[in-house]
Amino acid sequence: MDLEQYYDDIYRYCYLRLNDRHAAEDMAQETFLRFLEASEYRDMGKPLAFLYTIARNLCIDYMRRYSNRPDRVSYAEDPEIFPAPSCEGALTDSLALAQALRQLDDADREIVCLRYINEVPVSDIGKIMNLSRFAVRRRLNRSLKLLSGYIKKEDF
Amino acid sequence: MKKNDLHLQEELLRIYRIPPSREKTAFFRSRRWRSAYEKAFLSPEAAPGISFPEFLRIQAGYIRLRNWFFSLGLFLAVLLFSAENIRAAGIDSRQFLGALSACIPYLALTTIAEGSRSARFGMDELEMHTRFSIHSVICARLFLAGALNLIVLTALIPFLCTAWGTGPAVTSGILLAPYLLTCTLDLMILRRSRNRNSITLCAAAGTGVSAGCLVLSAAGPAVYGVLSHAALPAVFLLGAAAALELRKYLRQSEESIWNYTSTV
Repeated sequence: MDLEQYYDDIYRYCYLRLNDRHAAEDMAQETFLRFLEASEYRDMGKPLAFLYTIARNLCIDYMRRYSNRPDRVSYAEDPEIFPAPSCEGALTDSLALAQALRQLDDADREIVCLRYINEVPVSDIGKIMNLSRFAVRRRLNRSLKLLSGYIKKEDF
Repeated sequence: MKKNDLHLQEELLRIYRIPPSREKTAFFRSRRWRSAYEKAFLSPEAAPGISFPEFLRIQAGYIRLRNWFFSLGLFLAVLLFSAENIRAAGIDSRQFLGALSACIPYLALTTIAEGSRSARFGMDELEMHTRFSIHSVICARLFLAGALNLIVLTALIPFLCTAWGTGPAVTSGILLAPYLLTCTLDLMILRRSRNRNSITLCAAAGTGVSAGCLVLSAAGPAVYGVLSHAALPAVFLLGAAAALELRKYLRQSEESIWNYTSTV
């Protein structure tokens, strides 16, 4: 099984959650090692959703462990929260989108990032987030509508 | 991806500013990764991976030969009895189709019986601990046996239409309605009684449907007039009912796995 092709996706996802390159590399590597150790997975040629689920849980554990340590990047109080992008240094046209993303709740933000940054199929997003495909599609449409509405408003 | 989606993707990547990974190559060359990979996939105790077609092929081997033979036997019998000299001997199309529809419930019974073998032989608890879950095994066997039946029945519909001169709606109704009705009844019975005797009840239900088909075919040509209008809606309704029952049956098998594993 060729797992190397999924490394970048998992690393990108971990980075989105942790916003720390070294921590993201560590979590991505740990994800792959845990995947190999998992006895409950049987290869049916689609390991991506399972990899994301491991990565998500590892990131949440990591944030829980390190949220109170002063020498680390400070994380949000609730590790389940999917962080919003920073508006610092964003170009004018990107700034509206960054602000619009801040208006979404963390689950919707996570769905948007999984779908549009990592190009994860809707069915896999459902498996990762424990939602039905219809719920994912509904949330995605609602988020896109909200994002476009907010950006248009900011343009004025 | 659409043009707008690509634009959104570019913007999101720009906002989140994700640096490229620097440790990917080193990680996949590291001893830690290689030893974990070898342990998972190359060691003698590692279970070899299996693809979905391979899984179906293995499960096909466990379906009893008499099931395959029954489906193919029915197909060949229809071909044989549709030969011109036999038709010329005076067999009425109504009689022939009536007899054929009376055989169809047994075709459904063999398929359903295949899916309930584990429960009947008291092996379901053991199979919950095997390599493949009982749920996927049941799905695979019902899929294979059902697919063969569907192919046989679909192939028979145009053939019967041309050989016996019956309309496609009537022929579909005669072939599919008893099949789907028996499937629905049998799955309902299996869902309610998961024991060795359940197959006897299923056989009784199949025989009831079969007898009903014979009675209807003997009732007179008026029945065929009604059937030509009601056949397709009946097939759709029965198809939906069978699908619903199958879903409930598979869900129940999932629940029984969950119940069992939570008590271990």
